[in-house]
Amino acid sequence: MPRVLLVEDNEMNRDMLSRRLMKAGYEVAMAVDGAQGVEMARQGGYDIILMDMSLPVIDGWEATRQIRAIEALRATPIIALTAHAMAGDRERAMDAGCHDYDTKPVEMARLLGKMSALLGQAPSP
Amino acid sequence: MAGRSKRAAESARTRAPRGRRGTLAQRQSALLRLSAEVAAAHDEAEVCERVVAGLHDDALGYDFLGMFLLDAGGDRVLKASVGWPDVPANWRVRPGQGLSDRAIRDGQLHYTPRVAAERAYLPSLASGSEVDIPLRVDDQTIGVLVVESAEPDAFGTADFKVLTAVADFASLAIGRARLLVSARRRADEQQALLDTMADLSGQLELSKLLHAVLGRAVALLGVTGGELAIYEEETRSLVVVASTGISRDSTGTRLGFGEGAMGKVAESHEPLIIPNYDEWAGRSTKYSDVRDTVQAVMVAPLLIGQRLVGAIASTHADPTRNFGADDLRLLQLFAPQAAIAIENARLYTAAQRQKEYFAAVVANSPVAIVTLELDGRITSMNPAFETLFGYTQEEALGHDLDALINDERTLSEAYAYTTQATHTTAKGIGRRRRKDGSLLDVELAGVPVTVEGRNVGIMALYHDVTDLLKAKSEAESANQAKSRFLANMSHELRTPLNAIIGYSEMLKEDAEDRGNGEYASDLEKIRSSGKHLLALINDVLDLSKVEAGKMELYLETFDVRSLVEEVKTTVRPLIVQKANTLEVTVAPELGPIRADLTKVRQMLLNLLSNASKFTEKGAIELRVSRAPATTWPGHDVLFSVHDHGIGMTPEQQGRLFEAFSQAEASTTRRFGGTGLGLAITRHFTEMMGGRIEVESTPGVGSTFTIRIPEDVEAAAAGTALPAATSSGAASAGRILVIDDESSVRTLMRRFLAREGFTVDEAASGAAGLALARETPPDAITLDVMMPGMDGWEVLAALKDDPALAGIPVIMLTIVDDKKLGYALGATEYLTKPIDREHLRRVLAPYRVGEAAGRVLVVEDDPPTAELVRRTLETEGWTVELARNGREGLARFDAAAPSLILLDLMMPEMNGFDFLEALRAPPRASDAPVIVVTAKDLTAEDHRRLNHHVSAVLQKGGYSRDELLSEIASRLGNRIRRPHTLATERA
Repeated sequence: MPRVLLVEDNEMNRDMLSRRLMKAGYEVAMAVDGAQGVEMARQGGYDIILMDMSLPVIDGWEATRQIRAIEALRATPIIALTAHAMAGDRERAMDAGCHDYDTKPVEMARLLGKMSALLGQAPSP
Repeated sequence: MAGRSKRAAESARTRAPRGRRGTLAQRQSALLRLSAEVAAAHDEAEVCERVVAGLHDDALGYDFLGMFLLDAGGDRVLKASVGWPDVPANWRVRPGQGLSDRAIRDGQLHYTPRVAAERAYLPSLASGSEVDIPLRVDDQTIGVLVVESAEPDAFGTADFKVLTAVADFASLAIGRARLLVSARRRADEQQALLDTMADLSGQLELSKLLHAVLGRAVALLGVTGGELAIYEEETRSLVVVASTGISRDSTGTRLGFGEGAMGKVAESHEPLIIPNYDEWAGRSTKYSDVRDTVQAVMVAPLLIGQRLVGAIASTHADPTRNFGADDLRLLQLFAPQAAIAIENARLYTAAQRQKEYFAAVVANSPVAIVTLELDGRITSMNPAFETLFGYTQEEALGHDLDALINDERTLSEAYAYTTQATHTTAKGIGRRRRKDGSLLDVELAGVPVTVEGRNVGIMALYHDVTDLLKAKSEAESANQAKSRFLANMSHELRTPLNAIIGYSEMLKEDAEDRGNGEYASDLEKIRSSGKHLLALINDVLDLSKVEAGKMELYLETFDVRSLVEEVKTTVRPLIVQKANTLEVTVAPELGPIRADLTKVRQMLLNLLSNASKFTEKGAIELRVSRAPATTWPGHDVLFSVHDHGIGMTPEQQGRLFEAFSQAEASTTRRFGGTGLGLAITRHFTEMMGGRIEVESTPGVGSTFTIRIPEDVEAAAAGTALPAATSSGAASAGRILVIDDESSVRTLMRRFLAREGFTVDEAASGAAGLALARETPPDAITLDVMMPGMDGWEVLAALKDDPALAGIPVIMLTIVDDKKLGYALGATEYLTKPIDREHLRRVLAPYRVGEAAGRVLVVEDDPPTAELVRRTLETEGWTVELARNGREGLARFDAAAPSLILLDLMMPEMNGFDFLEALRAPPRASDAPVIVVTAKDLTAEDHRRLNHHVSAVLQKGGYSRDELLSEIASRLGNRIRRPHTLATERA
């Protein structure tokens, strides 16, 4: 069962996403801010990270950069999640080291497709 | 003279001289005296008087005498007489009347010995005998000397001699006097005209001038009155502007063309003399009451060249005052001068009015206006200037403007404006100082003042914009606050929506799982409302960004065909929902275009979802074509969406592209949508230099056509694309992407299209093979893990087909490090000669934090090895060199490096063998290896290296974008360099 680290400060979004991810067959761990996200990622064991960009303590871009700097996590896919649908957001996320990008509100099927692609799996049913 | 008097002398010979006359000596002396007196006479009247007086003298003794002179009409007018009672002054005798008529007619002396016997004799003058001697000057008869006696047969030859002599020298004297008068008159006229001109040219005020002209004309002609009229072009009529000496002031009388004497000359441009105005048939009813003062009339047009300026009339109260050639000549001399004077005065008046008008404008202008000498000294200023800067005329005139209204901070800038304004207009906004030292912001302009092409001064204008600038800056910060607010709002609104949509979706799924259909449908309502609200927020945000000018274009080069395919996939659910069909036609000549991909996609989605919304069980067509542009020297791409929906009236079409105005307000309720889509689409189209058009028939359907430049960038610059990239044929190449995952295909297509490739897609190996046979691509990217026929099988099939075997294939496998193993394990390729920048970029992801690791470079060519070593060392890597595979393996065994750079062509043990040994047990190392290849790899080399795979790229520590970028550049290299391509094809 693939393990997901969900870094999201909004409680409702966290709850909702985690439940849906679990339903889709993922094991989900959660961090509520950027710093906690980096810390949990460092401890290892996650196949993919979903990173909100507007986070307290350190934001998602910085958290991504810090995670990328950890050798063991170089290849761990990170998908940026952002409520901003501005042109340029995607580029900023990619520059920070994310593998993919999705906008909130999350379209579950789309997100799961992206996660599967990055995990090298067939999309979840 | 002798011939003339011969017959009369013979008839008189029989009569004896009359004794009451003086002695011969006395008579001769009297004749001499008479001739001297006549010669001394000043004018013809005096000549006549002296002639009759001298002949009546005792010494000569003629009793009854009369001197008649002919007037212009041929009448004899009595100028002097003696002995005739009851004769009026200037008594006239008409031609044909009287005995003296004969002498007038034939120019001979006539003697009538017995007057009583003549029928032609005028009975009022009793007379016995009469001698008529003509007065002649230059062979012209000018009058007659009539000498009578109460006795019949009173005159003889001696009388004829005396009288002929007297008539001769009287004629001479009259001729001379007339010459004198004429000369004097001309001299007087010249003087009068000169005086007139001097007067008139000095008089530029029109009304005064007109009266002066008329007064001068009346005086010059010696008449009792006159009128002056000016021609009005607009009304084609004459208006009397001055009148004198007639019964009433006729000023203001208007006469049409041909009306009255003035109207006649205005029409004919010829002068006109009317001897008796009262009897003249052409007189205007407007002049029926001037009989007492207007008897004789002479009118002349006032002309400048052929242009009518006005007309002038001279009138005389005396009916006997006949206007003659002299009067006419004089009037015609005078008229052109008067015309020019009037015209000048008119122009001057117009100029004066304009000047007054401008002076009033300047004086009342709220803009401070000041005029300067070229050196910047103030020559005049308006009240607004005084108010704005606080200086009075006395304080400012003659002072340097810039020094007056600047402090040291702005003085040099102000001087620069003034200097510029000496030859060209200078404009700007600046801060200036009032007299009281306070500062104000002004919009300023300096304009050179030009007289006859020469710059003589400067006019400077200042407009207080202090409040305006303040308001502007307030408005700007308000606008920024609005933009920030919108950005925040959009974020704040999306976050709870995220939960609403997400939870309702979850609950709906749960409900469906538990078979609770009622809940599921209600939850779907919540979910779709949330989605609608999200669409609204997105649209409002887009629109507000567009309207705030914050929307920016991100131009990229992409393949239209791929975009259309993607859009087609996206809208399919909408199409299916309404049981519609979607037919897409893309013109074959369409290649990559340069525009804002995201916006074009949004525009197409908008049009297609609209079409679907308003059509049911119908056909929707999307046609993409290419046409020469009208707005720039290139081609436009046309996206045309045709539906068979409800259509629109022209009135509805008019409001279509305005925000919040769907064709009908009820439309939103009936068909959904935000009502903003078309407004946004129109904005986007226009931002890209294109336009959107609609054709529609109610009940039949609509066609929306978006037209955007093929290269938005070039169109904005107004330049054409180079021919090579403006046609579809010049696409960077056609790539076939074979992948079962749609997200991967989308990503690949988007990325490759941006690089200018045309992309075909296949979702399975079998489909890919079919497509490759149908349209052979320039290269194929092939997914390894696919259900059914996997990548390796596809590859084998490709290589077995002679038609496809030459196509380079890039195996694409997205695996993590642990799952490596499909290929020999090359992570990346570099080609020689090595590009240092490329090398750095390739290695960068392998760096761990700030510290670079150890690199093993297996390379037999010392210069290449040295180059690589130096480049890497400057980047912080520790470099170990090995000259062949065997040495490389030994180094590896001694201490495993974090990265290996491997040459393939080496002595002793080549790169292929090295790799096989490295990956095989017992080492089974997964260390990243970058192969450094020479250009002259053989087909067999390739085969050995990667099992017929042109390149195996493994997604390692790069971002996906970097990976794709490598793919693109690799494909680009192959396709754009046929030479390389040939050697690398299997």
